[in-house]
Amino acid sequence: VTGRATFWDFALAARTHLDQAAVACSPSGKPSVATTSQTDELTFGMSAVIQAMTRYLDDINAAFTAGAERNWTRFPAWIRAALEAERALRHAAGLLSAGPPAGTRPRRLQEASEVSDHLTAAAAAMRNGRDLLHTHFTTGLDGRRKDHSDWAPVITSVPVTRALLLEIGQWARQLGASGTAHAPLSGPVQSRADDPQHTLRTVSVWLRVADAHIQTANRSIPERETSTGLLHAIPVHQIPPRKLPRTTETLLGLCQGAVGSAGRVRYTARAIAPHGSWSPGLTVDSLRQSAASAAAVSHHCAILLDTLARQAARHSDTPVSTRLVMSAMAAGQARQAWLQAARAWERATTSTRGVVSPTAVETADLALWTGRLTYADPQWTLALGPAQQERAPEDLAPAPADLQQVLSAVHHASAALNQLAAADREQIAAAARTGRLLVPTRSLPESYDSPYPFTRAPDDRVTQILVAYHDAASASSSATASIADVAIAVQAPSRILAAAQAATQHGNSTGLATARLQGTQDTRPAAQRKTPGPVERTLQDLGVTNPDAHRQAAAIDLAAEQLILDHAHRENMQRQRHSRHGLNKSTDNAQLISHRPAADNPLTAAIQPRLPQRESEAEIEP
Amino acid sequence: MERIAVARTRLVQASDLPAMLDAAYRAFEAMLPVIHAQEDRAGGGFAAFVMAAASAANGRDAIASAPSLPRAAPAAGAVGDGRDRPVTEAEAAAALIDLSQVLASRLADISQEAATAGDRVAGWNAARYATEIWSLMGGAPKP
Repeated sequence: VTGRATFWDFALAARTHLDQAAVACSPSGKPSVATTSQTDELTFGMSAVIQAMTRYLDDINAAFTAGAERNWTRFPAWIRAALEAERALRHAAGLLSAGPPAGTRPRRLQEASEVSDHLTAAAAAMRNGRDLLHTHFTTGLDGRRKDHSDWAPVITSVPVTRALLLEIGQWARQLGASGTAHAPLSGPVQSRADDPQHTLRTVSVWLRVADAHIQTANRSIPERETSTGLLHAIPVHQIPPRKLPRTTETLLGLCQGAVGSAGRVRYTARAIAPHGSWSPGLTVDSLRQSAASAAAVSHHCAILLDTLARQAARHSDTPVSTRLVMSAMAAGQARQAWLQAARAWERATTSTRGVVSPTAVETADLALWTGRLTYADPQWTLALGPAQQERAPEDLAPAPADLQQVLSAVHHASAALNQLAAADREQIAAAARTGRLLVPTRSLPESYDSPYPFTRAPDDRVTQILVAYHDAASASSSATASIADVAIAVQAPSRILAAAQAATQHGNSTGLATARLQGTQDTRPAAQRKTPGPVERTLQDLGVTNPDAHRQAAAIDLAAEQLILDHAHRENMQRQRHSRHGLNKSTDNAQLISHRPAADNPLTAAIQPRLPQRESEAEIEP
Repeated sequence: MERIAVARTRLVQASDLPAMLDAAYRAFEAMLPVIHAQEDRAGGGFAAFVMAAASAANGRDAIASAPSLPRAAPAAGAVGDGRDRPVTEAEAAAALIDLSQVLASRLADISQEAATAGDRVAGWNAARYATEIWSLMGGAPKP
């Protein structure tokens, strides 16, 4: 939808080049007698790929590598697998280090070789994929890593970390195939340690070992395919440019515009939160406009959902229609909650006035985009006055695909209001603590004597505002959850939002949501589903059979794994305070990850042959 | 709607600066319950009414900062009796267009003729918000 590159673009490029390298190693499908030159180029390419893969594992493992030896058994299965895989890759890299350093083409290779070209392209794709993930983080003044987007907690979540390990396992397996094709394991074995063929054979074994550790963890605690889909859907962090709807906008254009506008609301809301009470944008003008616009957006969402429900009913899709009606009601409740927030500001003000924050501007833009979707007039604006005609159901969603697109736009808009409510509430609470909330003196009883036109807001008015924002956040969250249910049911592109949210939540909701996203429930017996974690295992040892207790224990085990990962990432970044090691900084690479690779870009073409199109869900924000 | 009519009359009849500011303050306040009634209906003009409420509150606050505004709080029941008959969106919009037009005109006078800079700035800002309400209610010429 947005044209932004996703992790899938680079993961697929890496997979494709690794496959092609394996084919090039053995064009006939049978092992052939390798020349010294071919062995050198394979060594060169494999070294580059292993180095790229190791960097991913280093990101995951660095913090607990030091203590791993003595605490090995205490780590959850997946973290043990990550540590073991990294160790295996380092063994492989160590064997290859006797050859030419990665990035330096052997002098013997006079012409570009197909095998090394594919392997270096695979390594470049892997590096770019890692760079893409790192665009969602930033380094604070204290040198610690900070989340830079809504995707950051998704990237460091347990399901996505496991999915990334599975991807690395796949790459290791594919790379090992190249080595095996070149130097078959069943071929003549020379015991000489300096035999390059022998080295490649051993490297292939270590690559298989790395993959085996990851596969073992996956057999023990299987990760859902949805997590892999979520990993692949992660886009490069890029703020969509501000855009206002044209009168000639198509329905799809309006949906895309609303999604982009919602992304900008989320980004600006996220950006203001840390500023707290001193934020120059913390003015009553901003807060009134944001709350009023949010009420308008919720109103539009309620109408759109209701219209979609009527259209679904026309197609006799009763279950979807019923869910849409429920979602429309939830959006209506969000509208009422935002209305109360807007009204709370009619009785209070702030110490500074007259400035409208970027968040307020963006929220008004979102109201305009959703309004254009809602009403039949292609020139609809807020200034058209009352008695506006809504779009007819057959105009809003003439085809099922249109229903999915409109629903996605509504889903994104609703999710943006969640973030807005949370950010505004945080700011307002900070402003109240520092005495920045005021009321007109005239609005107070005559007994209140003050020589100033405005005075500090009484506690009851501050409480009223905070309660209103709490209710707005809660109602927006409920509406978003309700819309997510329908998005999953109709396979709308925005269902990835639900997956992202589930990935960052601890406990049972993750498994439940992902199962629903897959459209299937795991019907295997509980005993076969997974190997229990330490807490669940203890319950089993105690003879506890209560399913609720086991679900709770599983949630605690998952939360523990997430806690370890969170702190591992944090500690890792503290170590990297002065060097974002391994990140590509070249112009070419920045260009590559900023935009979906284009066919006319020679570097892109080298890295990414025959990329199939992904579904549009791969390009949206959580 | 009675409160809108009373506010309009008071605004037209105000003769000196404090009275004009007081009438303008009360006029913005009088708009709010009329707008709220339409917001609660959640009709086709919901978005315009909810944005107009923000502009009315901004306009009232702008007047509140005027140095010449009398400090006395408005007397209870000073504007209308709080039991307006239900009106349609179009009727409410028409009444708000009319009141905001008068408001913008009187406030524009204040912004040019007031003796103190504080009153002029307050009048100019409040006039801007009155114009916003006029525009949101469909008072602006259609494109």
